[in-house]
Amino acid sequence: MNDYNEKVIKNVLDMKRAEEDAEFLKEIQEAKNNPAFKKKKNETKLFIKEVSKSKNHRPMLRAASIVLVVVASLAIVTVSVEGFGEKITSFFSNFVSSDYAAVDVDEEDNLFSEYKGMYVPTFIPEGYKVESVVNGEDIFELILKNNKKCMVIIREQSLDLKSNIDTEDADAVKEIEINGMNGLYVKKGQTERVVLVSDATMLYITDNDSNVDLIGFAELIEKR
Amino acid sequence: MKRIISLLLVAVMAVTSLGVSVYAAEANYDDLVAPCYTNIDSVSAGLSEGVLGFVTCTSNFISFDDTKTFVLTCYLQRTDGSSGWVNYKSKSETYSGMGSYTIEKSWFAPSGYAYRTYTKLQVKNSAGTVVETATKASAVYYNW
Repeated sequence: MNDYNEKVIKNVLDMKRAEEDAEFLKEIQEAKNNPAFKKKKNETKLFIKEVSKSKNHRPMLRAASIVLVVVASLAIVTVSVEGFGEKITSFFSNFVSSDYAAVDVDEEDNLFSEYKGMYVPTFIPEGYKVESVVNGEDIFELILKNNKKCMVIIREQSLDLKSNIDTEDADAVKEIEINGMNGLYVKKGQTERVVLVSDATMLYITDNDSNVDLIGFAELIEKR
Repeated sequence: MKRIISLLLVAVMAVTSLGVSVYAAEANYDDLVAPCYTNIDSVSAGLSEGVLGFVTCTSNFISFDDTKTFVLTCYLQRTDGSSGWVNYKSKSETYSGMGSYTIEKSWFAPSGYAYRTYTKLQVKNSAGTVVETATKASAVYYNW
């Protein structure tokens, strides 16, 4: 009797399962024919694109590694080789410094166009304007001033003009080379001085403004 | 990580083996070194030979002190070789405040002497007292 009941129950369950399976298959068929579930044309492409995005991390890691190696190399060489750090900082200061972005001498109607053959700045520090120009026998001098009682002086003088420059008890004195000319850099309190000497002339640049990078400014001076 | 470290070591060895050359300036700047100034940045003197026996004397000073008064004197000095330098001609100017100031003057320089420009700068405070003096001589021009 128990076996019979078990068989009846099993048959009923099998019939029920078969009905459910049939309904499920019917739903699948309806879904296939439903336009809302149809695969759109570019869906495959979008899917592949999303997947491949994750693969782009590898080139970025490679680039980051290279940058890290270059920066670390520069840092090690800068620390270990005297003078190299100064070359690097002056190289970058030409592009990064905004002190000299105010007036491009060439854009200002050739500010120094009449002084051919003279050393003139290619940029004027922000806030400064040309106060005076002296064009004498032994001296060609430009004086720049701002409204904060600061001054930058660029003087080209013949080697016949002898100068005493205050270097005693200076905070810093070091030999430098700028644009092929050897010279001295002196810092004393608020004032800085750069002296550059060539075969025929001496270039003397001085200021009392700590916001002006005098060596960077000197590197932007050119002979017209 | 190992790869990054090995790349780093290779880069450092490559850069240092290139032999970074650092310039060495060999110019002599003894002429430029001066006694310690308080109110003055620099003092200069120059003499250049002109035409027809004329010479041009240049005296200059630079100061960043806006509170002082400066008396700049440009001397044309000469010597006949037997005695010391004598003031032959001079020109003096007074300036106030910071700046770069120049006296440039041409004089006739008769032959038979050696000449030089002698710059003398006196710095005065608001009371008129001389608080600092600086001098500088140019190179000598021989007009025997």
